[in-house]
Amino acid sequence: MAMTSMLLQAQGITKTFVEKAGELPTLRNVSVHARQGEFVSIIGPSGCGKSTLLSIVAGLVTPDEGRVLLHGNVVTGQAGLVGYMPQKDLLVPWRTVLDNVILSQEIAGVSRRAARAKAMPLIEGFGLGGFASAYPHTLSGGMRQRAAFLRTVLFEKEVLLLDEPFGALDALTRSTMHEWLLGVWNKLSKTVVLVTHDVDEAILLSDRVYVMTPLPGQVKAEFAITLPRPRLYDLVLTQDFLKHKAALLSALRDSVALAGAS
Amino acid sequence: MSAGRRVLPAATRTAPEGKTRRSSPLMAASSGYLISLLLGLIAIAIWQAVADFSSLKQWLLPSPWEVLQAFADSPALIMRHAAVTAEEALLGFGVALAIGAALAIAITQSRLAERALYPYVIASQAVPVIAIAPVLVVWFGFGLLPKIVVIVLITFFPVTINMVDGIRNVDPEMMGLMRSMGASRWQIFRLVQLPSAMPYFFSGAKVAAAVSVIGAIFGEWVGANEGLGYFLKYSSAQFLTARVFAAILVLAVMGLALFYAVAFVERKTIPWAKRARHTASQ
Repeated sequence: MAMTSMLLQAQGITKTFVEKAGELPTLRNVSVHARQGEFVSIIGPSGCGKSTLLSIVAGLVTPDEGRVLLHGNVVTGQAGLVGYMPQKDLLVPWRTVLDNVILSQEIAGVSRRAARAKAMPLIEGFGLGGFASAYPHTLSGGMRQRAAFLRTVLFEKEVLLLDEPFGALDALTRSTMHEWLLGVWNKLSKTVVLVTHDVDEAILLSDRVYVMTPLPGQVKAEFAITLPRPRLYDLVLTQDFLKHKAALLSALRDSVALAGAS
Repeated sequence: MSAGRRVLPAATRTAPEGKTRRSSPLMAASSGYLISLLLGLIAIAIWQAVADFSSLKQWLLPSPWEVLQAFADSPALIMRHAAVTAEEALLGFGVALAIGAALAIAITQSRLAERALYPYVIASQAVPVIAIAPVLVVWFGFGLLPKIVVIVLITFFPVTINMVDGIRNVDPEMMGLMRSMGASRWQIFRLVQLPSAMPYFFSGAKVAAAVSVIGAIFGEWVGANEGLGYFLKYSSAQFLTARVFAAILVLAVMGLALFYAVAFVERKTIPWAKRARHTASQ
C-alpha cells in the first residue's frame, strides 16, 4: 500500500447530526480508501449514513472527527476537488441536455461555446445522441441519469463519487445502465466510489466492496471482487458471481442483525 | 437514502407531446373564453333588466347602455385621464419590480439583510395606504411622485415575497452539487437560484400588475388634478354615476392588459417553466 497508489482516503470519519429531536450519530470511525483507477463500492442498508460519508468526501459536509486525503494531502471540508453525482439527476429545466452537462465547465470559466464543443463528441457515447438540444423533461429516467453522469465526468476530476445513481431506475433500465457504465468506465480510467444498496450492482461493477452497518454507520467488512475484467452483465449468472454474492449478503445480514441486537 | 424516491418510468418520457395533446388544451382554452364572454353577457343582460324595470334612479343604478353612452359622450376626456393613470401605473409597476426583486435578492443572499429588512417589508403591508396617501401628497406634491410611492408600496410586496420563496425553493441537493463543482456564491445565484426563481417572480409580477392600477387610483383620489382617480372622484361627486362606471370599465381593461402583457413576457422569457411544470406533475 504505497502512498502513491492511494488516491483517496477517508480516515476515522465520525459524524453526529444535532437535530431538534436529539443527536443522530450517523458515522462512527469510518475509514475507506480508493487506489488510482479502482472501482470501490460502499454497500449498506438504507439510512446507514453512506450518503453522508460521500458528501463528507466531496467536501460538502465537515466531519466531527477524521480527515479526508487526496493524493496524501488533507482536503477535509474542501469542495470542488472530486466529481460528485447525487442521487437525483438535478438537471435544470431551463437548459438543454448539452447545456446541462457543461455546467461544471462553465463554472470553471470555460466559455459556453468551447464547453459545448468539448461536450458534443461525448454526447453520443453517453447514449444521448440526438438529444443534445432536447430539454431534460423529454428524456427517460435512464437518459437523465446518463446526462447527470456526463455532467460529472465533464467536471474532469480523477475521482467520481456516485451516490446511488441508479436507485430510482427500474430493474431493466438499471441492468442496461450497469453494462453501459462498465464499458464507459473502461475508457474513462477514473477512480470511482459508488454508494449503493444493490448487491448485484456492487459486485458487478467493483474491485472492492465495503459493507456498512445501520446507524451509526461503521465499516463491517471489506471484500475484494476477484472477477475478471472486462465484465459483461451475464456475469451475474455465473458460479463465481454467486459465491461473491453469498458472502456479501451474509455480511450484510450480519451487520443488520448486529445493529438490531445492540 | 430511500430508494425509489422518485420512480421514473423509463419509457414514458421520450415521446414529445403528440398532436392530440396539443389541440385539446387549445379547444378547452377557447371554450373557456367563450364561457367567460357568455358570463359577461348574461351579467350585462341582468344588469340592464334590473336597471330598466326597477325604480332606482339613473344616478343610483345606470344601465349598461347608459354607461356606454357616458363613454361615447366624451371618449377623448376619459382617454386623456386614462393615459395619465396608465403612465403612473406603468411607472410605479416598473419601479416596484426593480425594488421588489432587489429586496428579494438582498434578503436571500445576506443573513444580515434578511434580519434588517424583512420585518419592515412585512410591516409595510400593514400600512393603511389610504390613510397615508394624503400625507404623501403633502410631502411630495400633486405630481407623479406620490402616486408612484403609493403604487410601489402596495405592489412591491408580492414580487418580493414570491421571489424570496423562489430563491429559497432551490433543492438543497442542487446547491450541494453546485458547491461540489466549485461554484462561487455568485455563480450559484446566477446559474441556479435566479433562473429557478423566475417563475415565482412572474407570479408576483402578475399580482403586482393587476393591483398597480388600483394603486394609481388611490394616489389620484387624495390629490390630483388629472387621471381616472380624479375623474372618478369628481364624477361621483356630481352624481354622474354612468361616467363612474365607464371609468371603472376602462380601469378594468387597463388591469387586464397589464396582466396579460406580463404573462406574455413570461411566456417569451421562460418558456421552459410551463413545460417543466407540465411534466413535474406526472
